[in-house]
Amino acid sequence: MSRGWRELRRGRLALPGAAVVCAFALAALLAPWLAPADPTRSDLANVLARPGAAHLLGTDELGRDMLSRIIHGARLSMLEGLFAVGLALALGLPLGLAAGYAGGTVDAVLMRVVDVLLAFPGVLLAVAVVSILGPGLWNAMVAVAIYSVPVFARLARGSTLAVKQEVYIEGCRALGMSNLRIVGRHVLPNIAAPLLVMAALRVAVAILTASSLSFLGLGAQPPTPEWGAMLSNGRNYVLIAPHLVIFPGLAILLLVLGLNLLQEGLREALDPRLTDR
Amino acid sequence: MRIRLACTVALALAWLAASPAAGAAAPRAGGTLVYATGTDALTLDPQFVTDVPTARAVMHIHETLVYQDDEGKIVPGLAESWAVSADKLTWTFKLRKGVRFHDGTPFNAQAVKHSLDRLLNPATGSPRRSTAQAIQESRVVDEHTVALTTAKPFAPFLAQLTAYNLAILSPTAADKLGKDYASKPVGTGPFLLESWKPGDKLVLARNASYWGQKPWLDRVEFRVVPEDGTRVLQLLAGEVDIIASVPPIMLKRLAGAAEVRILRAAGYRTIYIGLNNKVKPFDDLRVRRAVAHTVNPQAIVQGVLGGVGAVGGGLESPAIGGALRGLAPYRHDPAASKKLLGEAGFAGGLKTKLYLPTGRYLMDRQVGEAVQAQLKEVGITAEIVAPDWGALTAALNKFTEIPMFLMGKGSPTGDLDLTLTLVAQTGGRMNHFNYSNAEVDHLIGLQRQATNPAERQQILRRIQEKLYEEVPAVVVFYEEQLYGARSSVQGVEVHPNESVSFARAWKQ
Amino acid sequence: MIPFALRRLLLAAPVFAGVSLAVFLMIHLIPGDPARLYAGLEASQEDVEGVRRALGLHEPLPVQYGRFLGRFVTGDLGRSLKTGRPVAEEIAARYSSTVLLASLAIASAVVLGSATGVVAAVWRRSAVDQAALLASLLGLSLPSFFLGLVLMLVFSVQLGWLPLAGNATWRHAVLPAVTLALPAAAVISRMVRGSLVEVLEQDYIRTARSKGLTEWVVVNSHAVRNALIPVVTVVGLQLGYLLGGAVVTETVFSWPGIGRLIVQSIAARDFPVVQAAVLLLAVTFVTINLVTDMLYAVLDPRIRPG
Repeated sequence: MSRGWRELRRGRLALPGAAVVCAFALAALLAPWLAPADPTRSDLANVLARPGAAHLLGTDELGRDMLSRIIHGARLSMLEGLFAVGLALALGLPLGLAAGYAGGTVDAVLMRVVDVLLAFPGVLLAVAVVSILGPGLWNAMVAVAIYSVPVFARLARGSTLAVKQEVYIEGCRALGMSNLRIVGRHVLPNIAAPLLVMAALRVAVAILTASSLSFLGLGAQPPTPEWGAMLSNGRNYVLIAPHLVIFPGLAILLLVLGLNLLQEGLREALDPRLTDR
Repeated sequence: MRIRLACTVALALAWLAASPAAGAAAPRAGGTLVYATGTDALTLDPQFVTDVPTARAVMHIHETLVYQDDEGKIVPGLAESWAVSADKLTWTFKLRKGVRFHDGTPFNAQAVKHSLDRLLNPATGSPRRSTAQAIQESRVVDEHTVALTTAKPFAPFLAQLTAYNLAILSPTAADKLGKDYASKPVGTGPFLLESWKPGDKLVLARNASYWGQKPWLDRVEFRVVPEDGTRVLQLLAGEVDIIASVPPIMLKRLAGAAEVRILRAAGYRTIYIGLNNKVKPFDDLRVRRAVAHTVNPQAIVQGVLGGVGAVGGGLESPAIGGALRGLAPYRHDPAASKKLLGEAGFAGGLKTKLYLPTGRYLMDRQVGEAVQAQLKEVGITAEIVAPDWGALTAALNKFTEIPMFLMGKGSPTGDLDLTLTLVAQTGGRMNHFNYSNAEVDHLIGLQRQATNPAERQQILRRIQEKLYEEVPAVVVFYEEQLYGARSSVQGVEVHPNESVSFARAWKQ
Repeated sequence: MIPFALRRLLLAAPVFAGVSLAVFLMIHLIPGDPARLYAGLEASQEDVEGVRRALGLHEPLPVQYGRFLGRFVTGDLGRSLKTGRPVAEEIAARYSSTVLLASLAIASAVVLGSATGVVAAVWRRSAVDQAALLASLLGLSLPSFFLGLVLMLVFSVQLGWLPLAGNATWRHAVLPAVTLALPAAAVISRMVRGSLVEVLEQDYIRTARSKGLTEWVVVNSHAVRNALIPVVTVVGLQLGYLLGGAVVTETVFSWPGIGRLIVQSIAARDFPVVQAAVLLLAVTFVTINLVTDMLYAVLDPRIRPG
């Protein structure tokens, strides 16, 4: 573990990544105090203003301050990442664990369900789910969670299978331990590591997917300052006000890049043998 | 009065801008006009047309018996002249001679009867069957004369016949193709279908045997480009020749470009905020008036729409024949609003939900957000709900669920009868704000049968005044149509009923 | 090999059934009446009911699903609710458009990704490797809609080198293909590097090196083949992802693909189109996975199907 810390500190990737993520996290936490203006207040006399003294990042098509919207958007993006992954983990872990541990028919059925989810190419599953639930930030996050469930389910199953082979599990069973206890005491802690690493990886994916949904108009709704939605809106004005597109885009890019750098650094430090997916 | 003058001037300017100036170059034959549109045509069968983009394509291939000019007057189309019987029940049309459909079938009274019967036949499954339901019987008098009979005197009959659903199809083609007519249409229009790649592009070719003035252009291509911004970019780059629905905010940029010209025309479409008269708190007239005094149409048109749009107080756009002109919007007066709200018991403000369509009307979302912000100033907190169109219509059609919503209404026939019946009559299909007034219902019934134009005008006036007093909906603005075209494009006609015609267009 | 393939296809059948059922249920759960949507707000209730009967939407759900399956098996995909055109016609052109774009993208991604991956592996742990890593991370972090818009701004608007929208000529495909290719190239690059490094460090490679063979010969003849194995899986997955995930890129570039068609059809509640299109994509995706699994088996003699 201490070797890991050393590696981490030496890492040229993890540090900048961590710095960026922390910056956004701070922005997210302190948004109401940090933002110079109300992100939803429109000023129809001042639409599409270029970045300048009054508005550091300009204003959008309804005169709202872009800087404030970007800062508040950090909150939403963080939420998207954490909630979607958390939900996906909460759903996928038991699914995979049950399939791996129980084996047999249970395994076959559960994995078929996962296969059906996986057969939906790309973001279409998320699109379909959002269409049922209706557009909205929370619904989009649920859709992204469902989209990520198969990944966690498969990983949980694979790891559970590996752990199941271990001799000491047989030993526990011989001792008469209930399955539940075996799972809780021995299996779960041992599959935690790879799943957590995967979770960290998926946060970035979740943020990208959620903002894609918002870009398509299926996620956050007006006047929510979600970055993907802002970009979608801004592209109509790209000729006369490119700042509407550039700033939200850069924000997403920087946050996701920071997360990826951090995750890469973590991977190198903790277990260089884990191959990326 | 001023609005009427402005409209006429706008139309005249648009016409001038679109037609070759006196003494300038004469029309040149040949070339392809590329028109970039946001959505593809859904079908090419006039009897299945339910939206404007589809109608624009269909109405280059097909024609109706009569048309409406930009002032609302009925002018000949496939029918040369007409007369109504003394009992006002039978309309006799003398049809144009020597006209043929694109497949060579002669156009005659049998063809007219065939089209109307097909529309009215439930087996056809037309979603717009009801546009022809006033016609009780169509009778072939002779080869070029057809008589249409209504059950009761129907004043808007001629206007009804201008609707695109009542265009005439080739009987041979319709019978032979059945459902496939939708992709292989055969009409009498100045253009015929050359090819259609759904979702991509629709190409019309010049009809060399057209009975009227033959088109200058060889081809018209309807190219599907869903992104507003991209269409503008393509216009500037010269990749396309003409685009509809220019985002108003791009106006300055386009106006500054030498190779591009703006065509502006008044429109029939009203964008309004509907207030559910059956749901608290909007069942109270004071609250509705308060909203009317809060919404600031001028600020919205200036700020959100870049000045493109007309304001007024009447639900019917002043560009429509028979609409009351000179109804001003309720005075923007937040103090008066607060007072009214106080009287109604909402001194502490009120919470409600504002349902918005997205991408259905120009800048609909942004207009809704601007309204939301204005309402906030007087203490009305409106939470925005923006489901997709399918879910929104489902919710609207429950009639009791939605308290406040943004919606648009046009005028497919250019006559007030249709829209008043749909929107203002108790139980009207589009009366989503549940307006119900017995006197207005009675008047709507009266005007439909009032064949004396002056008398009818009086009744229509009274109906509109009542609507204005009771403000079941707050009018935000009347849509102005904005087209962008390359300077080399001439002769495009933009009409207030949102149709556009390339029949007399040409490229320098 | 053939029985292996057949067995996999048979196993896939319940998945397809599951997908079709899932799509059918999902789309019927979405609020909104397609008959009313199609007829328009202004249509009379009578007209709407007429449309409902004409489209067969008045029948109970199980019957509708049964009809759909029955027709599907005979190759009849039904008619679009929105346009009345046969569904096969609606999706054929769009599907090939998307496949074309995805193929161009994956080909570019494989070339670019493999090249950078190999270079990074051969010069591992040097500045070159770090740069490649950074580039891949950047590629993974760029939202496709942002990348697409920026590319469009630079190459179409500012420089005017490439057209803006549509799919008429080969030039139209360049920007969308690049937009799709970059993230895929990033993943492939990492995969190639990781897999190649692992192989290069193994014993038998060291043996070859100690025999005096140059590094390049070592890489080319021995390492590459074995390193390809996991990469093949990744490429297959990426191609599948591109087919469906291209919807955002298709939107930005107005590319008339099937992803966009599905999104539009969901909005229009056009069940037959959604069902057929999603099922088609699922079948394609599973087939791609099957092919990559078989390639995998061919490349790695250890994994011969039992």
